[in-house]
Amino acid sequence: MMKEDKSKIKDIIIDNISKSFQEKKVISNLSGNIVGGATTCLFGPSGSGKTTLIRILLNLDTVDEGKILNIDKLKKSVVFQEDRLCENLTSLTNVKMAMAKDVDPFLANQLLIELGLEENINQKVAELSGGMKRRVAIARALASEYDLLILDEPFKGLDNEIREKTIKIVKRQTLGKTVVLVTHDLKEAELLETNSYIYF
Amino acid sequence: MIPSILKDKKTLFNRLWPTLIWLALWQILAMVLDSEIILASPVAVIKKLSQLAITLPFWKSIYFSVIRITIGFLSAVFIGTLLSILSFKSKTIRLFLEPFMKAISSIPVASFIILVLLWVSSSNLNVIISFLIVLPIIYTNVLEGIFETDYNLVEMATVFRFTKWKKIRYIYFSQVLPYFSSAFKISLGLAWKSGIAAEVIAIPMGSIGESLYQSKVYLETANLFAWTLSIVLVSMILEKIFLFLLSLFERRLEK
Repeated sequence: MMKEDKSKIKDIIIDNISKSFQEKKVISNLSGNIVGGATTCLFGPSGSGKTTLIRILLNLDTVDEGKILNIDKLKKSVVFQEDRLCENLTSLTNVKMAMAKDVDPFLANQLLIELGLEENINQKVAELSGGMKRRVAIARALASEYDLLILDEPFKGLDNEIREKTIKIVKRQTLGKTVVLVTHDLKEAELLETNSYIYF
Repeated sequence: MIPSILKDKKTLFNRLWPTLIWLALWQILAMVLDSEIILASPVAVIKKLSQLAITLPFWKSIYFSVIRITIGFLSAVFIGTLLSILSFKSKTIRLFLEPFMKAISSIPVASFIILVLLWVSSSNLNVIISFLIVLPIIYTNVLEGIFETDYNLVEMATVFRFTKWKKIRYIYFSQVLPYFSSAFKISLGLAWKSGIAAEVIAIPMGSIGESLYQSKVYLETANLFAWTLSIVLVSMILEKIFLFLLSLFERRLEK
């Protein structure tokens, strides 16, 4: 993949945002930069508001206070914490459905093969193991057209060998792209060459 | 591991032996009673059916009933699905339709037949009855399926910028399909049974129901059984055809 000109990709600026659910403050006065064209890691314990921030970045939730700059026009792609796949459809269909019309449909096959799912391309997702489903979700996110890729614990449930291989593929595919990674494993962040961290 | 050909033979055998025992019991009972009017023997019924099957009126009656009941059934599938989508979109429509659907699903078929007979001609009664029996089943199941759609997938579709059609095809269709399929299978048999029941009461000329009624009036028990057997066979064939079409549709969607 061609490396994009980083100078053209703006940082996403999180400016003093807060979010509450039924009077319980989940995010309180959070600020930080998501570096354009690089990987930023959201780091913190469970329940600290990382997933809420992701939902806000994906436009699935709104902030109560503060603002996020340079995000509105971005096309987003995501690996959700849960796979969120259509279980009764095949792996290939699940990946293809997220692709733009003008993208070569073979990209879906190529990604699935690279991720070690060549024998499962035409298999229903419901019949796949947890690790396989995770890789289909990763393939879908990579095949979709995006300016911002959000990876919420993307390598969870993968065994070591597959995990390392998958990280390499993700790293190669996202070179020069803006990526937000949520992980509890700093080694994963290092392997993806994370440039900045937002701590919760 | 048992080879598949042996497995198939075993399945066939398991299906066949209970049927053969029941047929034998039926034959013995008919021989004991020794009255063709009270109980026609299976041999007499098959003989009668083979005589009927070479006559044109038999096939005309089958055609008459199959076409009308199928029209009623398919209209109900289409309208029931459409109404369930509208009900999902609008709470007002859902509340408005609720008493109607509850009423038609709880009124006995016989009452329906007599009521509807006041408003429509006997030749079209089976269309209306099969329609009314199938409509609430399809409506209720599809609506439930839409409401059960995984909201996580709807969110996923939003993030990946799915078009409206893509969202319907991949998210709603694939989630609703199991509900639709089960309603489709249940209502297929019910449409056929209620349609024939309507014909027996309304006695439209040239229908299966009329032939059944005539057989009963003239105490032609073998004829009555032969027509019943033909109803069962036609129902089974129709079921196979519709379920095959449904599976084609399902496979198309999975691609």
